[in-house]
Amino acid sequence: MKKSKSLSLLKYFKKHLIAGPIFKSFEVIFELIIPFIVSDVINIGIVNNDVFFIVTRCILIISLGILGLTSTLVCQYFASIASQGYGTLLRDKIFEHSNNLSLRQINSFSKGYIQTLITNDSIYMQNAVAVGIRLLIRAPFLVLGAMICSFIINYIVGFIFLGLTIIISIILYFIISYASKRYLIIQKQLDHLSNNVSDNLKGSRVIRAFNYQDEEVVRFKKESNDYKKKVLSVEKFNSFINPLTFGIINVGIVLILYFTSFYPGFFNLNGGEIVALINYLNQILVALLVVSNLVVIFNKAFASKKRLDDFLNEQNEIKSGNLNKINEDSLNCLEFNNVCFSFNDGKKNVLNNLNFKLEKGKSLGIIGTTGSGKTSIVNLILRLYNTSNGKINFFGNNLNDYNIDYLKNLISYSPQKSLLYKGTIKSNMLIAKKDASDEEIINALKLANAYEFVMKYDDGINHQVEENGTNFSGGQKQRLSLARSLLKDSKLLIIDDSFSVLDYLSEKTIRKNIEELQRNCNLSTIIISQRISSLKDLDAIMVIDDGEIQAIGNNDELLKISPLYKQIYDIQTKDM
Amino acid sequence: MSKFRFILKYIKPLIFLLVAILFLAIVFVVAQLVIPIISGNIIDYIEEMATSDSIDTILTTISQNILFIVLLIVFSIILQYLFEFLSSYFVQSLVKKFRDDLYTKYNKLAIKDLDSRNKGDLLLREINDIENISNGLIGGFKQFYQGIISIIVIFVIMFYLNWLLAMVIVLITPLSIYISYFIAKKCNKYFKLQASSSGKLSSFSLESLNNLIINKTYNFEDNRNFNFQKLDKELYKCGQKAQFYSTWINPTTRFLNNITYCFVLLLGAFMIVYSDAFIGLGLTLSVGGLQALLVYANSYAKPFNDISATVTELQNAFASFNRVYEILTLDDEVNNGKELLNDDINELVLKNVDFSYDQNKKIIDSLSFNLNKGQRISIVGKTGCGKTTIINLIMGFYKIQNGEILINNKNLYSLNIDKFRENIAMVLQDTWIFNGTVKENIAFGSDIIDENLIIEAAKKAQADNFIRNLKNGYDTLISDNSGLSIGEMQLICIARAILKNPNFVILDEATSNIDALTEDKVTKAFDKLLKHKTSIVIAHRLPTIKNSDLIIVLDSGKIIESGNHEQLIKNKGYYYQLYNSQYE
Repeated sequence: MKKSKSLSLLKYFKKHLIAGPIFKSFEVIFELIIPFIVSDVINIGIVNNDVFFIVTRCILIISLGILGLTSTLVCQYFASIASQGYGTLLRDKIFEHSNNLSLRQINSFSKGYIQTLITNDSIYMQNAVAVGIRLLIRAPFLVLGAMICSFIINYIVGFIFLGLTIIISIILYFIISYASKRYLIIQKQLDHLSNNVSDNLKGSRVIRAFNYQDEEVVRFKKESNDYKKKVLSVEKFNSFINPLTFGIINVGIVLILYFTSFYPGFFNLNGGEIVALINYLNQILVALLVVSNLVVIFNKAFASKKRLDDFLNEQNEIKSGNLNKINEDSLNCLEFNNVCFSFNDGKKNVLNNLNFKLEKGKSLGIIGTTGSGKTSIVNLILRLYNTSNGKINFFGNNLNDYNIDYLKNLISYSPQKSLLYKGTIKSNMLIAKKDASDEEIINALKLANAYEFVMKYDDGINHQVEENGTNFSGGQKQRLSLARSLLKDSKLLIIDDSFSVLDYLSEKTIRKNIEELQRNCNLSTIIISQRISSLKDLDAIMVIDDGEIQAIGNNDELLKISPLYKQIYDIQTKDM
Repeated sequence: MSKFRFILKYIKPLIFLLVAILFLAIVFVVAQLVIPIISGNIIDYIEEMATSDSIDTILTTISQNILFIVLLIVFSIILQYLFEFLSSYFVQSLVKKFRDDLYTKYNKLAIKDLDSRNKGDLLLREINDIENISNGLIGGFKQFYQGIISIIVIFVIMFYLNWLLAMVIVLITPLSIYISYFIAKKCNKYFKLQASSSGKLSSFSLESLNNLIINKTYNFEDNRNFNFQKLDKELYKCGQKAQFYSTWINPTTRFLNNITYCFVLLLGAFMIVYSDAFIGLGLTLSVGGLQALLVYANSYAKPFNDISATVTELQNAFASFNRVYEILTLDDEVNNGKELLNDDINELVLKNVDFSYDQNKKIIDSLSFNLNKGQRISIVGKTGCGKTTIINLIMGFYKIQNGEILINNKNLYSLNIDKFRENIAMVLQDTWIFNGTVKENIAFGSDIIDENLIIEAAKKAQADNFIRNLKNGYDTLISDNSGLSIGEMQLICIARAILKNPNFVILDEATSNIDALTEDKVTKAFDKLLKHKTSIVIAHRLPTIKNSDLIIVLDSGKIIESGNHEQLIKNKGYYYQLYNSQYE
């Protein structure tokens, strides 16, 4: 069996996990002793009219109470440290892991799933730990103590109690195991709701434009009703727990009363003993009920543990190499040899037998239809995915041999979707270069034609960026994202369709700046675009169609040899 | 509206259920409390039997009593089961109402209010906070209901048995409640902090998951991890305190009840030992009586202990309730307008419109234009010049500060905004694909279920080809991160607009990110679709712009040029430059 990664984090809290229950058990022991003292007060103190005895015993009870309170608080302290600490470590670990896995793996889990792990599942786990330390030890201890005491009073009754406890435990077990299966389903439905809400929030504008709010609400109500039904179908069973335990325990009481009255010799119990036994039975009842109420918490935690382990046990499929040095003499920045790539191993190839070179300091354009595999090429270079076949060389060495962190420091990338982080413009720029000076940042912003709008802010590059850059327009985001990629000191610059929402004038300026940068820094560049105008001045252009290279050449060559290129060219330049 | 009245509003429809549950609780709690009394009687009979001659008659009484207990057990099992289940039903119904209403609210709030809050936090309220309320209620509600009833019943019994001891017990109760309240109030601060910290953490991780590709390509993971851990540590700090201090309540309550118990024992013992002194008060107490009182003292304390044990959940629930309440009491989008168009949008007029997001920097500055039925306006301009804002204003997502927007000569704000929007199809820069099948995504907003019409729309949008190549064709489940390219997602959004077939179309950068071949086809499809329709287009591709009746060039929210293509080319201004840049 695979080791549970989620549970293994508990090892940091061994001390708390052991000390907590120990202190809790002190309290339980005191609690079990008190009834004995009480019966002494009644049987010895009152019967002998011994006031001194009565008063001292009462003081003893209160002292035990104080001791019990103190040790409980110590236990609670340990429990809070261990459970909250555990939850914190768990979240850190999930988050870290989400940064480690490949993009394919993240997408196969879905972002919603990972987000739920962080916000919900970790909480369920930490609740279970807290409750485990605080209460789980208490219940069995009380049952055991009550059982021992009843054996002392009468061993036959003791066995009856044992039998009853076992019956109740079995019933509890069945209800619990049924419920825990159902909880997985319920959790899934909750994920579903969560996706639904998140979709709705993202689409608020479109939904209103279609005046579909009411339909959305109706749809959601149906989903939430499903959720309610699923929860209630478990509650139908859970609701049995309290009445059944109550019933069984009381049947025990009836049995004792019945046998003592109709078969006096069988138990041979006096009134005081019967009272004591009934008390113990009730104690067992209370303890078992505590356990059953905890079941919900543990069920949830159990379901969460499974989800957590599924995620945490996923090994990163992208393996880093050790190479920390490029071959400076290599003439080629990049070399693809028979590279194939498919998302689900074996099925349809997204990229098929790609062969091309990018010389050092040169530029390469990639053009092709939507879904032809352009972005996949970039994902392979960035090692976001693994090639299914073939080899990629980067500055003379196999791409896979490089240490990934080192490799990524050499490549600068501007993605299709402009992604910004909450913070300031400056903090978003510093991602590309930790120690960049304000001048460098401003220079990069100028290169990306972004400084003209940044400049207008009173706080300039210290202007706030809201989450996901929602306070900027699409074009502004794209410029900032481009500026970030231009700030980074790299050997290879990849621009993935990042001019798409820019106007032609801005694009032209930026393109010229990049060209200059390329010449001055001996930078190699890959530019993916839908626009011929963005690519036609590059050293070489690659036409991709359905995962295959249809043609490579410069603009003039392609107009002669590539019908697809010609067709795009005509479309984009007609009506001139 | 006060919170109390707010809650009352939610409970009202469930009032019958609540009464039924109360009734069940009274009956089964009383039944369960009667059982010890009867068994106490049986014990007395058993004692009596040892010294009595008429064993048979006593045995008959005993068997009658036992039979009665058995009946009570069966009776209370059934009622308690119903109580438990109906309580869950009540809680789930209540919580569902909260959840539904919150969702409805998200669809009713002004876009401005949604934009100003972060989505991760809103999601957290809808999912986690509602779950917290449910958890708190399930534990708390049952205990509370059951508890109050048994407290009342036991108090009556105790008072009947011995009023002095009963008074002692009852007098100490307020103390334990006060101390619980005191502790709860103290840690409320930490619960609030905890809720806001976890909100922050949640949006941080959501943002990070969305930006994963940058994390990875910029070696930004360590920085993100570090900052996540920092936020997480803050959550730990207040979480640990909240948990620790709130767990004081239960042991403290139990301790106080222990003291009460001890008081009863001491006082009871004195009553027996110095019985003469108490006779004057009309009080006598036997050993058996004291034992019974002690049992009741314990039962009396039990609900207090139980309720205090659920205090952490209750406080969590309360903090969460406040977060839900905060949203639910926000005002809906103002939709004062009652007027209906009763016709297509024949004329759209903007008159000296001013707008600013922050009352400070004008985004739109005294903008005016006319758009008549069947015309197309293209808006051109640099990034940030206010193009998208114009759409926000025309759609009524944001309110203008000065000027007028007139639709068919009616003020936009006097119209029923929902009905007005129905006339418009919008394709936005940020594609919106929800979790569902391709078919559902295309049919969204048009109530059309005829598969042929859906496929036809997809064909017009040039999306049919790639859709058929998906795993399950039109029934493939998709979402915004299911591996579709941005271009493909955009084609689906276009198909959605085509299927709706409105008379007014707004396109915001709709053709970006689609490859030239597809764009060419889509442009043609649009031209067909836009024919005889009114449209506002924000696009950078000249073929779309060129065919417009009016082109507006915008800079810093002001019109710097306008006219048709030929006029603007003659003008040799910004548009001329822009036009030429494409072919240089």
